[in-house]
Amino acid sequence: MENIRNFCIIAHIDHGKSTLADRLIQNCGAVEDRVFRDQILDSMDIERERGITIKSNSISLLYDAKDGKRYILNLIDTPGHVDFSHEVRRSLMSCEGALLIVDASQGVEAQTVANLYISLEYDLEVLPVINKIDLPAADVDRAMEEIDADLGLDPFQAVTCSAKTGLGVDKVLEAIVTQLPPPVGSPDAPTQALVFDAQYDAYRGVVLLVRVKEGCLVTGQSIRLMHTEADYEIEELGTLSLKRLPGKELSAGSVGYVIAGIKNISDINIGDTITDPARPAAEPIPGYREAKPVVFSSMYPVSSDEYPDLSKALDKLKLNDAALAFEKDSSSALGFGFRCGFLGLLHLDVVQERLEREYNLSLVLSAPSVRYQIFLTGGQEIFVDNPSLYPEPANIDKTFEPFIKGMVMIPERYVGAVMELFMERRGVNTQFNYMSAGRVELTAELPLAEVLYDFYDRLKTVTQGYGSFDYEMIEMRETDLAKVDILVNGEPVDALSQLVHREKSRARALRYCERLKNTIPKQQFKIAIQGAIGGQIIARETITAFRKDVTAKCYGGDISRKRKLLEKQKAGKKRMKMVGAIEIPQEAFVSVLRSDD
Amino acid sequence: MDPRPGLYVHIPFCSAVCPYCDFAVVRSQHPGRVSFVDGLTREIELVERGAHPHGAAFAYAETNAIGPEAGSFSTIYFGGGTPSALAPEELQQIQAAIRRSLSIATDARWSIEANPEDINPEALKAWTNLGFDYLSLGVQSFYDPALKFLGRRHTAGQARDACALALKSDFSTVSIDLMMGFECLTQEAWEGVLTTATELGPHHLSCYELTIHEGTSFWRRQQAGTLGLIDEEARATAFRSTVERLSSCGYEQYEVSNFARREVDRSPHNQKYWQSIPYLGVGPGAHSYDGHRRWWNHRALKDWSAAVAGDQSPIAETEELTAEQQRLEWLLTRVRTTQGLELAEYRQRFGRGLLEEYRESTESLVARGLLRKEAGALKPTLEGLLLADSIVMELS
Repeated sequence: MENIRNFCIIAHIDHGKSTLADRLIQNCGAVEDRVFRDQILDSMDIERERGITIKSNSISLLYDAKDGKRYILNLIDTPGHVDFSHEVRRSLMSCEGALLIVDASQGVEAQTVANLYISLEYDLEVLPVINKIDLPAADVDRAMEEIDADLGLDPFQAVTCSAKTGLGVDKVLEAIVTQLPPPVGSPDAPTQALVFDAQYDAYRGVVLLVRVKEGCLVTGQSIRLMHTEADYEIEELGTLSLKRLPGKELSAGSVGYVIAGIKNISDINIGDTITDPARPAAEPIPGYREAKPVVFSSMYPVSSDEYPDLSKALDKLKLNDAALAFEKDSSSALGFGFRCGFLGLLHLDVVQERLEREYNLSLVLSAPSVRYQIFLTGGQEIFVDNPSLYPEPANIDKTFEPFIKGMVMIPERYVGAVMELFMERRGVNTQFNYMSAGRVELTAELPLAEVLYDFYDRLKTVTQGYGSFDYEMIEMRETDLAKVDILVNGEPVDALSQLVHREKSRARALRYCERLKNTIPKQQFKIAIQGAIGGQIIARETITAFRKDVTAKCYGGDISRKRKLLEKQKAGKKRMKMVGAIEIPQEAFVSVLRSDD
Repeated sequence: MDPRPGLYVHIPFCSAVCPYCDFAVVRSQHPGRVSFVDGLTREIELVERGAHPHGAAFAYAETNAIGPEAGSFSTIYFGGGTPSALAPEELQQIQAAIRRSLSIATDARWSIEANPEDINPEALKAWTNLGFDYLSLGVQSFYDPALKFLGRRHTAGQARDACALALKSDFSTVSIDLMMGFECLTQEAWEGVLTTATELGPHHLSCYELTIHEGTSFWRRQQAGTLGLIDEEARATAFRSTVERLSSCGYEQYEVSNFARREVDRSPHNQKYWQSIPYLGVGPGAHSYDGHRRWWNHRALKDWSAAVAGDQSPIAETEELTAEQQRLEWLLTRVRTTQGLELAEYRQRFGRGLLEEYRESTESLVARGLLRKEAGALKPTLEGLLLADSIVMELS
C-alpha cells in the first residue's frame, strides 16, 4: 500500500488539466505514442469537442521513482464543471491527494478556490502545480503570491511545469510520490469499497469504478451494496489503464473496476459502499448524497413516432448518468415526452446534445425551470417545477424560489457592466473582491431562475468573453411568481407556458410573441399570438394570412427545383406541431426557448 | 393535348447579364462563341448516333417506330440567353443540324426569344424566313424606371417600337414578357404598363413576378436588405389586377403567368412543360425530361463545350423519378394551369382516383374556394392559382 498514490487533478477550466493528465500518462508510458490522442481520458465526442470532462475516469500508471521503487499512481479524472460537482465529490473521496493547477498567466481563479475548499473538505493533501510557465505572460512569482494569499497554501511546495511542452512534468511525478500520502486501510478489515462512478458496457452491463478503502475484493466473491441492499457476485475485477486489465483482487488502497452482473445503472447508486455480506462493514463510507436536479425541462420528440426511441435513449443515457432524472410528461401541443431534471444548464445541454447526436433524435425542449416551493392557502406545501402543475393563483399563499450565490471573475473594466447585469437579473448583495492587479471577483445573490435564461450569453457579451461564472445554491427565498401562457389563436400552447417573476412577465411575453411571429410561417388565415397571465392579455402579435405562394415561372429547369422545394416543405411538415388548426414548426419552439442573439 | 415531344435549344449569349437572371448565360463576346454552333451540332448528333445516354427516346428511329411522326418533335424553342444575339446564319446552321439529326414533325412550330434592341425589319424577316413563327419578346416593361431597375439595355420607347414592328411582321404569334413585383413599379405604374401592352395588342402576354434566385446580383442585394421589393399583399394585388385587366381585354389566362388571345397563341412549347410531355434540351444548362427521368447539362459553357467537343455526353446530372415524385410534379405543374387536375388523366397515370385518395383535402380545397369541380377536373380558381403551392402540399 506504501507504493500506491491515489490522486486527482483539479483546475479551473482552461488551466490545462487534460493536458497535464495526458503528459503524466505519456511520461509513465501507459500508452504508446502511436495510439495517443489529446484529452485521452475523455472518451465522449462531446467531451473532446467542448474540452470538458463529464464522466469520471481513472487510469493506473506505473512510475519508477528516484528512490528506486515502482509506484502505482491512480489518476482519477474528475469532471470540471459546477454542474457535475457531485461527481467531483465522489471522485475526490477516492483520493488521498490532489494536484491543484494554477495557470501561471492567469493566477488563482474563482473556481480554483472553490475546488480547493472541496478538496479540503475531504481531507486531501493538496499539491499546487503552477502550469503554463512557457507562456510569455507567465508570472510565476505572482502565482506563488496568490497561492499563499488566496489559497493559504505553502507556495514553496508548488511545482512549476508546462504540460504543453512537457517541461517539469518529471518533477510533478516525483512530487506526487514524495508529497502526497499513500492510502491507509487494512486488507484484513471488513470490506468497504466506494463506488465513485459507473460506466455501462453493452456486453458486460454495469462496470463499477471503485476505490477499496478497507478489506479486499476478489473475483467470484459475493458483494452487497449497502445503500440499495442488493447482493451480487463479482464476475470480473481489475485495474483500468484506458482498457480494463482483469486481475484477481483489489485490496485496500486500490482503485479499479468491478463487473458483477448488474444490468442497469438505475439499480445502483453512485457513492454507494460495497461490502462483503458474509462479513459486512459496520457503516457505509460517509459523505454519500444523492445528486439533486435543480433545472427542469420537458423534452419532446419532434415527430411523435420517435417517442419510444427517446424513451430508450434516456434509459441508455441514464445508464451512464446517474444524475439524470426523468418521468413521463405530455403536452397537448407536443404530445408525449419526458419531464427531465438536470444538475444545471450545462448538464441539460450535454444531455440534449447527446440525445440528438448519438441517438439521432430531434427534440423540442420546454423552457428550463427551477423548482419552486409553494405554500397553499390551506397550509399545504408543494414543489412545482412544471408550469402545467402550477396551482390556481387564488390558492397560493406564498412562493419561494431557489437563490444562488453567483461568482464572476472579470478584469476590472467590466465591473460596471456585470453589476448592471446582476441588477437586471434581480441580484442582491453584490460584493467585490479585488483578487490581484486588475482582476475582480464579483459575487451576488441571484435567483437561479434568472441564470437559466440566457445569462451565460449575456455575461459573455457584456464582458467580451472575459467573464467566468460559477455558482452555488444558497437558500429558498420568497418571490412573486406569475404563470405566463402563450396562446395561438386563443389556444394555449402548454409547452410554452412559463413561470416567471411578475416583474419580468410582460417583457418575457412580448419577446415570446415576437419570436413566434417571426418563426411561424404565414398560413391561410390570420393568426393571433398572445401572452397572458390568467385571463389577462399582456402581449400580442399578429401574423397576417398569406395570400400568395405560387412562384412566377415554371419552365423546363424549374420543375425539378420546385419539386425539391415542395419535397423539403413536405418533410418539414412532418416536423410541424399542430395547435388547433395551426402548424407550428419546431424552429418556432426552438427560437422561443433559445437565448438572445 | 399534343403528346409529341418538344425540343429546347439554349443559346447562352447576352450582351450583358441581367441582375435577376440565373440562367446559364455568358457575355456575347465570350470566346466559347466561336465553337458554340459546332458544339450544339455535336450534341444533337450524339442523340442521332445513339451515343447520348438518355437520348434513345428522342432518337429518329425510335420516334418513328410508333407511327409516322408520332414521336417527332412538334415544338422547337430557341431560348436563352438571347437567341437574337446569334446571326441568322448561325441560327440556320443550328436548324440544319436539328433537321438532319432529329425527326421534326411537318407541322412543328418554331419559337424564338428576342430582345427589343435586336428587333429590326431585316432580323424579323430573316427569322420568319427560317421558319420561326412564334416570337417571344423580352420587353419586361414599358416603364423606364422599371427597365433601369431590372438592368435592361432598352428604353420604354424602344420596347414599344420593337413590339409594333414585330406585330407587323410575318410571325403568327407575338408574345411579350413583362415583369412586376418590385418597389419602383407602383401598382399605378404597373397598370400603365398593362395599358400600353394591351393597346399594342400582342397575341400573347407573359406577366411574371420578379423572383430572386440564389447567387444572382439581386439575391445579394436582397440579403443585404437593399433591394426594393414589395410585400406579399401588394404582389397579390398586382397579380389579381393583371388577371382582371387582361381578361377584360380579351386575354385568357391559361397558366399562372401566361395569357393568350386565342388557343393557337398559347405557347406551344411551354405547354409541354406543364403537361408532363417529354422534352429534350440541348445547349449548356438545358434540362430534359423523358417521362420518368430528368437530366440537365453542364451549366458552364466551358464544361459543356469541353464535353461536346470530345463527343462526350454533356449531362451534369440525372434524376430518376419515383412514382410519388412524378405525381408531385404532375400536381405542381397542372395546378398552375386553368386546365387543372384532370381526374381521368390522374387515374390513368397513377392508377388511383384523386378524389378518393384525398377526399378530405379536395373537399376542403373546394369548400375554401381554391379549387372548383368542373367537367371531370379540379380547376384552380383565381385564389387557388395564388396558393398553388399550398394546394400541392395539401394533396401530398
